[in-house]
Amino acid sequence: MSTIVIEHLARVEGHGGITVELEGDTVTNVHFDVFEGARLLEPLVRGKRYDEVAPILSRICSICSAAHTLTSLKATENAFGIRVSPQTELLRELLFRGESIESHSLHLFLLALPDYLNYPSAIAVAADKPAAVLLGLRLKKLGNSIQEVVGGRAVHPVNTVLGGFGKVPAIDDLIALRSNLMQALSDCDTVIDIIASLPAADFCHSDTLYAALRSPNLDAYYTGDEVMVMSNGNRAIVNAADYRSLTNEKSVPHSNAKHSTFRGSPFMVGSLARLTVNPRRLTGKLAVAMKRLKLQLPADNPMDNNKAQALELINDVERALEIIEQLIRNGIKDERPIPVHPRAGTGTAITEAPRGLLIHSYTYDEQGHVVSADVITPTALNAASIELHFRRAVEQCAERDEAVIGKRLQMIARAYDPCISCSVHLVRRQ
Amino acid sequence: MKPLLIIGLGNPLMGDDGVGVRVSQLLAADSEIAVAADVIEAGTDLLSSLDRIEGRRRVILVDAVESLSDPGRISVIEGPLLEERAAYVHSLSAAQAVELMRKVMPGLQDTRFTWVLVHVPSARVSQEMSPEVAAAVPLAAAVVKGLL
Repeated sequence: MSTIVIEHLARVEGHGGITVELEGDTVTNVHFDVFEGARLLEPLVRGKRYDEVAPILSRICSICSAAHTLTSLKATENAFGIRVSPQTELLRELLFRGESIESHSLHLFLLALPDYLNYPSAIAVAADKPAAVLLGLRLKKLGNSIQEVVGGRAVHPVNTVLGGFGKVPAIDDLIALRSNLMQALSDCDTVIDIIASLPAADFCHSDTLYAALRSPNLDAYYTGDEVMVMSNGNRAIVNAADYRSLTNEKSVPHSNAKHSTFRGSPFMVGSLARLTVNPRRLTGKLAVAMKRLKLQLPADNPMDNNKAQALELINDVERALEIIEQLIRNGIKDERPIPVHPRAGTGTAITEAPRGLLIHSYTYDEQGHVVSADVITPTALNAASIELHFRRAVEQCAERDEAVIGKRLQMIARAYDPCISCSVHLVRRQ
Repeated sequence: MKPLLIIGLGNPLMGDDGVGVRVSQLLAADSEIAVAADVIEAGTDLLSSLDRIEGRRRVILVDAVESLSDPGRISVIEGPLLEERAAYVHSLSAAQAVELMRKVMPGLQDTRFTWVLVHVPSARVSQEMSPEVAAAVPLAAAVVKGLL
């Protein structure tokens, strides 16, 4: 028996690794080793008052802090029967779009691009191809600017509260954002030029089950309460309140992230799943870009998640622009947050964070204190699917060269854009 | 825009790891600091503050550094920070982010970066810091003030 071990995944945050065991050419075991998990954070909110929960859980991740905040607020609002105004829903969607822009641009240009170009890091890419890195930084800055205007800060929003917003954005700030977004439209063309020019990553093919929020207007990350799971034309719908029938979490010995399967099969969440479930988003500029990227849906290659992120970048910029123009046209109303009247009960929310489905579910007592909490992140949902695709990649690799297999597996892991712990960031000095 | 920016880094949900953010919160409430500098938190994603960094004469970054001895000790380092291994959000550490920004953004070549590092023994899920590191928060804030 031979074993391939990648002890630490480079350019993937946190403590994660890969183990592959082979008997001759047969793959006997594949592990995506995860040594830490965000679920350990849930006890931190037990016993807390309803208005303390979102600010605490926002800290799970700096890249996805808006998604955690808004999903947390939506879950609590569902528990207390609060329905926010259309303007609040629009502003929350805008915040999601800003986060998606900053997250996808970071991932595509600073983390995934070095793989395709055979560089060890974004810093090395920057030495030879600074324009690509600058493009990524420029788009990331735009995404963070949207979050600052809407959420009050570039990360960990403070302006988003139960029932609405502490303060609505100033019209002048929205006008400035509109100008930056219009400039970003031309950057989006360059994004597609760059991604279309990358070498094909054609080393893992597999039937894949996809799960994504089925949004009522086809392109929302925030609204909607139904998840569609689909593969090869078969579809199933799961309501937010029944999320456990989607996740079916099970502990596995090699990972602190529980594994999820739907009716016994691993499933993939994230950009590729969103486009697969909501293909009617792909019109106009997106349809043209999709052809240039040679992306066909449903895809059987997890590496296509990178192409899907590039398409979503265009969609995010266009949709953010639409939302801002609508807000400017209609005029921003100085709405106060809807008053909160806590009550005993459970509220669940499912949204689309940049990396895929994000689930928060809380049970409150009559005074509005948390009795129990459940937070399931996209990387936890993807863990079993990542292992499945590792296995397929090794099975489909004609070479048994450890370096070749290792690189391919790491590229697959990074294509999922995993966020293993999104927490510790200690400096370890030389 | 003030020429000086102070950035607190870290995750307050991870115990001692959040010391940089705690220091920045203390400094943000200090009226003397407000005259001289802007103070922000960047969590674990320094690149999110790119917009705020551009155009500054000096940036002071307050962060945790893993150290098995001397918890609460404070080090000040000018210029590039060498890391053994970065375990940051999406594996782009604050030190790497500074290096990357300086490489591709000529406007940052003249910006002076100073690190104020608080030595911490570990980071584990908790909203409380260890007593030694908690005691270092006002000291680190004083060190930052002394740099102004």
